[in-house]
Amino acid sequence: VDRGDFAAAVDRHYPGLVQRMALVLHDAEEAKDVAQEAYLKAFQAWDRFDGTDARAWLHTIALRLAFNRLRRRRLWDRWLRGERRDPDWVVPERIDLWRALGELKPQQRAALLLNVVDGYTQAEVGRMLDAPEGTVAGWIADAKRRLRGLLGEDSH
Amino acid sequence: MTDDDRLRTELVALERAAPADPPRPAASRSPHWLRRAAPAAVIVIAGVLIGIGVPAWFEGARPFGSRVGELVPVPTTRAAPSGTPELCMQARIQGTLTRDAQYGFAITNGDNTTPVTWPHGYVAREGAEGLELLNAAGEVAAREGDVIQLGGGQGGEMWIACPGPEVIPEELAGRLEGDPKLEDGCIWLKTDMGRRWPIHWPDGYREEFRDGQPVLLHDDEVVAEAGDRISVRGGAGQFGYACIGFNPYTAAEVVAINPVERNEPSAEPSAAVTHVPRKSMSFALPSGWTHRLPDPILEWGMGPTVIYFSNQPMHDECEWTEDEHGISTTCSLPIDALVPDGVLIEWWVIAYYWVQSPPPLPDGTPYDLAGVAAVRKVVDTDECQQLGATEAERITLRRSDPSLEHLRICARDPSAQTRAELEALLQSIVFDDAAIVIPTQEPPPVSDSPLPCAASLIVGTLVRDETYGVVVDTGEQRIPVVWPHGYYAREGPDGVEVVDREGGVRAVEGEEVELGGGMNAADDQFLTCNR
Repeated sequence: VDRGDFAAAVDRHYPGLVQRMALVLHDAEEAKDVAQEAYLKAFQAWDRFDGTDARAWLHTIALRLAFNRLRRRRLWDRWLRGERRDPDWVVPERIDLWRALGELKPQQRAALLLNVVDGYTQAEVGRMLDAPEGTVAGWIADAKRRLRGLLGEDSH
Repeated sequence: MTDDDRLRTELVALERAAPADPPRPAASRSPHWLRRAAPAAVIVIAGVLIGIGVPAWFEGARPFGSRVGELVPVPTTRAAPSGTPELCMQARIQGTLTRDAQYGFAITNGDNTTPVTWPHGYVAREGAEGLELLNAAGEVAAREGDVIQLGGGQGGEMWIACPGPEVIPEELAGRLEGDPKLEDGCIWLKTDMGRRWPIHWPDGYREEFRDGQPVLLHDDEVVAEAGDRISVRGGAGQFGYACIGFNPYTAAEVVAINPVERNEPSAEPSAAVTHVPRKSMSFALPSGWTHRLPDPILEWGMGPTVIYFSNQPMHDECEWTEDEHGISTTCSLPIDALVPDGVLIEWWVIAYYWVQSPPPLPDGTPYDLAGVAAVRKVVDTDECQQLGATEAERITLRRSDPSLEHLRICARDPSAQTRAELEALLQSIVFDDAAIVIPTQEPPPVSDSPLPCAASLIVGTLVRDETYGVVVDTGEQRIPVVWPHGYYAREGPDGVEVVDREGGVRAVEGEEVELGGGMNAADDQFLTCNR
């Protein structure tokens, strides 16, 4: 694979990846760091990319970086116990959705977004998150139930 | 609109409201995601560009981290193809290692500032007292403000460092040595680390050979002889050519001279436990065995040597020679041939920085070296070069991410006694940052083949356990876990960390974890398989 093709193949996915990581990490600033780190790692591993779904490949790299970062952040949060303020870019009518997403586990948030927003199957999500398909199904079902309740609709 | 559609609409709206990175400035030549990442990317390709100077898209990069401990990419050369020797230009530069706004580090000497391209695998790190330069083994090779000298040569506006930097100490101690046949006679101080420093002595001192042996004179009286330990204080001093290819150390003062006991045995005496802080390890040498730290030149490059062990005398493994083409350095092993019952252990490390997934441990018999999961296997005696070995083994372990360490054991007809000593030595090794032993499963029969995974799930808190390293506390019981092959545990800043075979931290003591898998046949341990 020609490294010169890298930017052409992945550059257009960058803004979307930053926004996705903002929801998964529940932090827009950290999202930029993770997205940049993911692109750097992707660039270094470009020779090993199989040339199929660049977006999924980038998201897989970024999600694993994000989960590692969240694991460390949780430990810091225990010490700092700082209140996280709602970000300015979330409009008032979606503050509850934002907060509810924050109550989910990071893997749940990622699985939900990959499945509901992007349309990846549970098996595909499982491969991207390195988790069994059954676990992914459980994450998504639980997330949907909790968010539907938030949206004022009947849960199924 | 279905529930899923409504949920999808809301999530998409929320996601699209999130800030993306600002758009790329029109004048920028780099993709926007590369504005901070560009220096690291140069690590991959700088070697290609050495001949034409600085990569154009490096301009404007800001290679600084904002937090202590953060890694900062610096320009480096490309990795040499496997099996090829590292070839360096023979020029030298010295000066103070300074922070450079664009390239991370530069060498400053007077009014001259030269940015540096480092050997492959080097990276910088924000330290508490300034920027630190890490070598390919992850060790601090130099710090901002250090006076260093660098081999290599000029490439465009960059200095192509080869090998890595050598910090010039404020005080230097070593034994007086020399060779009357080298360059019409060279005398140097050899430090405990094996580095030879030609010395520019203070006024009143001079060196010469008497009966083929080096001596140091003060006011024409011999004050030190070969083997005496001399401490001097000074610095880099004048830049210029000196014996054995290194710049000299300019001594402003001779601090101490400690005569060697002339009947002192040349071999280092064995101690009950030998601690080598620089290698972060301790070991107990059996009687008649010695260890040897490598020549500093072998600590540079892609496969730096860690240490040697042998039960027969070892010598310098590198020789500096001069011919019509100039000075050259030839390194081999610290013994030329194994005697009957002789053993040599060569230990080296290969770091896989910038590789997304460092390679797993190779196939072999699982082995425990100082609490670190390793594999041990018999290898062809050809690996022992011309030592005359009749047996050869290799032990491979991962002591630190993302490196693999290799011990090659070459032996010639070892007796039962020697075999026992070898095993005792290996078992005595202790790393300073000792890993924590956790039970792991056997490797899959075929590399990377999927393993069947039982569908049970346990949820609980990862807690420390004296027997199993860590266990999962479900609130009702503490369940020992057999982790996937290649996993290990270590002490981290927040407690015990469980590390997967790619070096990623999968769980930390005190965290709530979910493990897929199932109980073993004895129903006393949980075999987890969700990597």
